[in-house]
Amino acid sequence: MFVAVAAGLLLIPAYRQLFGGRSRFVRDWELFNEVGVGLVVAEFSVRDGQGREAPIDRYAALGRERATAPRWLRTMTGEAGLMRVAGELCARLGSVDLRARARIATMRGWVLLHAGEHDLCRPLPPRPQIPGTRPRGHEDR
Amino acid sequence: MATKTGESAWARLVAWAAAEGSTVPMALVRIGLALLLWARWGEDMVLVHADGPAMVALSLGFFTATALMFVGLWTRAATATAAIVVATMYFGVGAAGGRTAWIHHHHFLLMSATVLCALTPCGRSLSIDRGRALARASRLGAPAPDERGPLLGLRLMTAQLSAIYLWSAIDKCEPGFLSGARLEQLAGFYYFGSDLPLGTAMTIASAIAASSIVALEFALAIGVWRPRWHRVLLPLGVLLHAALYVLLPVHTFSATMVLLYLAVIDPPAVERAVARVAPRADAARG
Repeated sequence: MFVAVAAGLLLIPAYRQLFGGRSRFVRDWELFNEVGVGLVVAEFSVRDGQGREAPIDRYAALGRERATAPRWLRTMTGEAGLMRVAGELCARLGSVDLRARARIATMRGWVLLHAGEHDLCRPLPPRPQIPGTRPRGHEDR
Repeated sequence: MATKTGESAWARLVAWAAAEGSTVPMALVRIGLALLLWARWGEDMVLVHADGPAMVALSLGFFTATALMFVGLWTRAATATAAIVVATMYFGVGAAGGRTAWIHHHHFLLMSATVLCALTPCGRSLSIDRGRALARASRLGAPAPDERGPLLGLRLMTAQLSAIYLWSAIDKCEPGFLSGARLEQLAGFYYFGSDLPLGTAMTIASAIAASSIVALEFALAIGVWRPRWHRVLLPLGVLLHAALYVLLPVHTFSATMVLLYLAVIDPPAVERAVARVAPRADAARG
């Protein structure tokens, strides 16, 4: 009995973690596995006609304080989250050339999302989707 | 020769699994589990939340069984009932019924530990049952019954701990975690948001922390089985779980893991520690 139960406790998680099985009845031990995936860390700047960039504080630019700012402003999630903040900044700052240096969290690490190459107040050209920026769906739902 | 060695290893395993020892550690686990079950599920199981007769029955079963488990009255039956109730809550209501808020890792660990606790004679120490047994022996002029029993349930709790550390460490063996990036992402998600101060110092600190966590988890996966490693590893494990408890919303996970360390430690050592803390109880046993 001991061997059977102990083997079950030790081996059953392999169903999900090694073989990719998905069942609510089987427990994996992937703790906090997908938390934070899609988080965007970004710095915004405004570029002038000579190509010089001046960093801007997104909270100050939008007349907010970090402590009381809404979640979409404090924690940008996915490129859509970044573009939402960029859209608010463009609307508030008027006709500016808004740039961002941004990285996005994936299961493989940080991936460059923007390197200041585009004016975010203008429509972006089609871009390839960055893989792994959304949770893999390992959480039970 | 190889067969003989194999047989002797098997015999040693069987003897080890079937060994008997002090029931004080399992009693402490029983009491701790009752408290943790209330901490995690108590609010959800209040009768006002029960919709339908089945949930009313489950609530009543939960509170009755865990209360008896806590004080140690009809302990084997109470703990077995608590195990059945909690397993029903996890598998029946949670997994099959779609209440996924009840099937997180910490819920499974509590459920599993309660089921394994039900396999132990956890009422022979620190319980009303113990008091009744002593009174009965005194009435009959018989010696006080031993606080000893099979350690099988504690061995299985050790297997559960080992499995958690092993699979958790395996899950982290990927570049995203070992580079420290996943820890940074957790820090960003819970604390800094998109203002996470990424930089060389943070990258180095995160990578060191990530590698240390993985190394410690692998060491604990093996070390819980090796008493000689306990003096070093278990305090480190407690520190890890304390840090996780303070930093992340782990709910009852850390507390349950540390509670189950009682199953890992040599039972006489736990009994001696309890006797030092509660000498009068020890005298009563003598």
